[in-house]
Amino acid sequence: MPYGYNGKILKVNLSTATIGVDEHDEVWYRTYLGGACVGAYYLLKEMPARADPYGPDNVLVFTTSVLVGAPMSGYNRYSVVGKSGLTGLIGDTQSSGFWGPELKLAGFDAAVVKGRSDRPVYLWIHDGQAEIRDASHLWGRETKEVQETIRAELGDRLVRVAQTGIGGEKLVRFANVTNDLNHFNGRTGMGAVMGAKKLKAIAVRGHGKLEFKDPSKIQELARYFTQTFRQNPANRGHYDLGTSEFVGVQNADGQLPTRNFQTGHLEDGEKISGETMHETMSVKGESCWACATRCKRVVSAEEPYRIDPAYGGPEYEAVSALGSDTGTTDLAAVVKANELCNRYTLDCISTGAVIAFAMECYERGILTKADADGLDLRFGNGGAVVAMVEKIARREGLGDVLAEGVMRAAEQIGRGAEKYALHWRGQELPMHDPRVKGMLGISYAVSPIGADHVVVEHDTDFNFTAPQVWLDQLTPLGPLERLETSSIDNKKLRMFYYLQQHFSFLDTLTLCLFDFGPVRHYKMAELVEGAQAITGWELSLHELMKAGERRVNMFRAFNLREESPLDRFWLPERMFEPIQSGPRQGARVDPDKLRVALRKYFEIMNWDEGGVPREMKLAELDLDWLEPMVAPYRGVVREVIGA
Amino acid sequence: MSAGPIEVTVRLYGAARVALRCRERELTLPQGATVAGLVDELVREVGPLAREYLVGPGGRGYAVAFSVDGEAAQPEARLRDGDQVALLPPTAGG
Repeated sequence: MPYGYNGKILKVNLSTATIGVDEHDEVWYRTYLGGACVGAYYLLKEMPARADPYGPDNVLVFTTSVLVGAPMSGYNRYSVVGKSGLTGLIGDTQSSGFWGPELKLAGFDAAVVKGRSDRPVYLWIHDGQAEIRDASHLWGRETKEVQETIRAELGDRLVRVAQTGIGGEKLVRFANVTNDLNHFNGRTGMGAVMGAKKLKAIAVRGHGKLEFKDPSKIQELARYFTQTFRQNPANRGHYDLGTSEFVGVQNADGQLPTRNFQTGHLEDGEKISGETMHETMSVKGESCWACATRCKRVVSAEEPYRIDPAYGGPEYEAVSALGSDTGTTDLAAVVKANELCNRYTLDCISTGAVIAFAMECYERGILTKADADGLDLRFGNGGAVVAMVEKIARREGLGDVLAEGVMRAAEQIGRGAEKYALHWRGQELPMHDPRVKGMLGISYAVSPIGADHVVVEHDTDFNFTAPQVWLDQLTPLGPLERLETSSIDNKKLRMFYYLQQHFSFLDTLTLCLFDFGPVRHYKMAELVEGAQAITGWELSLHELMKAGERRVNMFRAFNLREESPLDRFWLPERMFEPIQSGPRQGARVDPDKLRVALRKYFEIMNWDEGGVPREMKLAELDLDWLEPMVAPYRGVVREVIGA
Repeated sequence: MSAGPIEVTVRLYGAARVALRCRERELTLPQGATVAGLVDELVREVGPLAREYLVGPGGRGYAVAFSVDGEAAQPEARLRDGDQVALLPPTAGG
């Protein structure tokens, strides 16, 4: 009898309107565990290479893990994995909330969706059953109305709905997936893949019970976390203020992306800080399933914009992308823009970044007021940010161009706009600056899903001023010393390598990094104890690290076979230019050092000069079956480091 | 040469600012005071809650980073009259 998982994976083909179930043995579950590894497994096995991301061949996987559903903080997430229309490479995105545990209680560990429906549909999964239902009446509706309608027609207020909104329907390339209206699978545009499949939503409800090997140990760990998590500075900050706590301190430290990353300090930036939001707006904390940290923020307001609290509130990334990166200190406008992103299922990082890009083009005369549909797109115009979010969601005017993401928008606009399009592998840069944090630059350069800020914990967490408790908790991975923030030398690459495998297995087990990241409250040993108590397997940190490395190499294999010109390892040109002002003025990435570091990254990964995993690396990770897929690319002299 | 007290300004950020209800504070410290001494004085003036937000778990290290006049500083750094000290909560990636 399996502990922690159901042993059933739902298979849905929307082209043929057929439903089936895959069953795998214990070895398979222990090898792939869940999340991104299960997703990548199905993509590599069942999607033809170079498939159209918006065509019927794309495979979209909604997947939990063998640990999801245990009643402890941080065990509530799920991943959506598919080919991204934003990057043309693998897409992988996690969300918290309640949907993942509900899917497990409904009897399935994952749902694999193939094909494309010729009319809008939604999937109804409940207590071991699944059916495809008409969603014609839901198409074009806002997410709140969709959720209410689905719950009403299914007669159950506790149905959990994952869905894409108007942005996904319109194939905005960075459209996301939401569940319960205020939890999001952001980045990589999986909402647009749903939209292309005409899959409006997946509703789940379960009354089942998951079996765990050692329920008393689970209770003990849950009680320990709830009683002590506020001792950790990161968890306490999340509990008190949410991630918007970072805004003020990043600005004070000169590393808050501002005006399309031209600088790292926003004058009057305190006006959009988490502290100011807390003091001046109606804000309350909200939790995910069984989690004590309560890092989510819910904001409501009536004036000057009506903010519907159903859509949650802004995280750090949203405040920075829609605020500082657009030069905006109008907090109400930033919160409204975030609410609209959530309402229309637009990734708030990409949305803010693409508007910041347009603003820089406007200020440099590349775009005119006429091009901008009459909007005054100067940096700092919060009203224009709000208006442009609406236009992007509906693909109106310039919004239709920006809905393509900065890379494609710059190609369409031309006139030198490419210089101001800050992305890597087609995905807009998140709101952290590689000119300050060395490992972060490596993250953006190597991330298989495009620029990503959650590849590893950040350099500042282990530098000479970081809390000692964080370094203590990192040591089971190997690194024992504090390292300078901006360095990318051998010691830093070693730290990066271990942290990447660690973060990667968190995404495989779909565990929340806000509870399990090396600087958060659960220690490594407690993570392993929890995994053992749930599954009954003699899991070790070593085995989990290898699972993380397995995920990275499966993603690498997927990207190799796509043969995409975007599959390169580097940073956008602005990162080699100095930060223009503030405490970090003058900081820049040295391209020569970056090139050396990336070559060494390939070495430590046991990849060849072209970034291709060597045969025995695949074998060591029990991925021999990828060898025929990967071998044709090995040894082919292909320079993949550099712009 | 007088060895009188020094006046410094300390600025708090993040959860500590909200919990301690203290955005900025003028502190009078003895000549030769360090950043660590400033934290001790702040705990004495504001109360034990400040220890929870500024000092690491179990009294090990600190729960905030320090900057003096915009430059990163260690706890043992000596302060001078007129210094502006920022107590910066760690920004954990993600």
